[in-house]
Amino acid sequence: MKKALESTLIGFLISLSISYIMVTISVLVENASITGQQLLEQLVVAAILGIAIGICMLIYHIERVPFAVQIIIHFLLVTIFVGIAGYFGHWFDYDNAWSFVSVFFTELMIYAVLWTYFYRKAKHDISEMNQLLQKRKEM
Amino acid sequence: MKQLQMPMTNVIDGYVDQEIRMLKVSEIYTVYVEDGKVYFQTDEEEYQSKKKLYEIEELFTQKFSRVNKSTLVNVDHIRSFQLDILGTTALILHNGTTVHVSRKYLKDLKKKLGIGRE
Repeated sequence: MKKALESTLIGFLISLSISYIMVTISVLVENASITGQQLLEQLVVAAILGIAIGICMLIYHIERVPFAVQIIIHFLLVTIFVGIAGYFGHWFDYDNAWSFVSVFFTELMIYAVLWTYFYRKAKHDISEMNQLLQKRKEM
Repeated sequence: MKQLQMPMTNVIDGYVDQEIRMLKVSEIYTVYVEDGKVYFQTDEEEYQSKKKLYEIEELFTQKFSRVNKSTLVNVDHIRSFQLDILGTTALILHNGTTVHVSRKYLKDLKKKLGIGRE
């Protein structure tokens, strides 16, 4: 329960932060303005998305599932939730298929970077431990 | 101070076929749970324990490290570690047994081996 609450809170806060940044960039790039109602809508969509993604993080606590499978399941769930949030938040240009592709591709790149980071970290840890075991064997 | 307060013992009772045997800690490779029962894995035999896994973990905290939800490993019997393409860590013991290591317990295992910070 504690883990679920922590994950939910972290997801909520990160999502709101990213939403704030994305809305700011969008307004600056398009030289546009946003109404209070629109801002509130984006806030609600981001909050719900963040909570949903936060709950998805609990997949990483299921030990018997391999790490690669955990990431794939998390990726698929996040893609679905981002798609739903994007629909209600009007994030996509429905006349331009490329907008869907670019969001999906961006998400894929983020996961690829994260996967590479965690894999290399694990590899480094393994190497360190094996070196220590080898030294002990030689002693 | 914490170490001095720990019970100093290097033997534990194991059971097989209604017989009891006092096992030295050094003989035990792993302690694992299967079908709700706790077993000691040694070279000769697998002995059942009357204690719970967490009790054994507390009793032999210096020599054994939890590596996943249902297994303790004697750190002196670890031969090497492996990482597969799926990112799963496993350790190989001197008797050839392979044990999956959960990421949750990797930090503590590193500490027991003398790597990493507190």
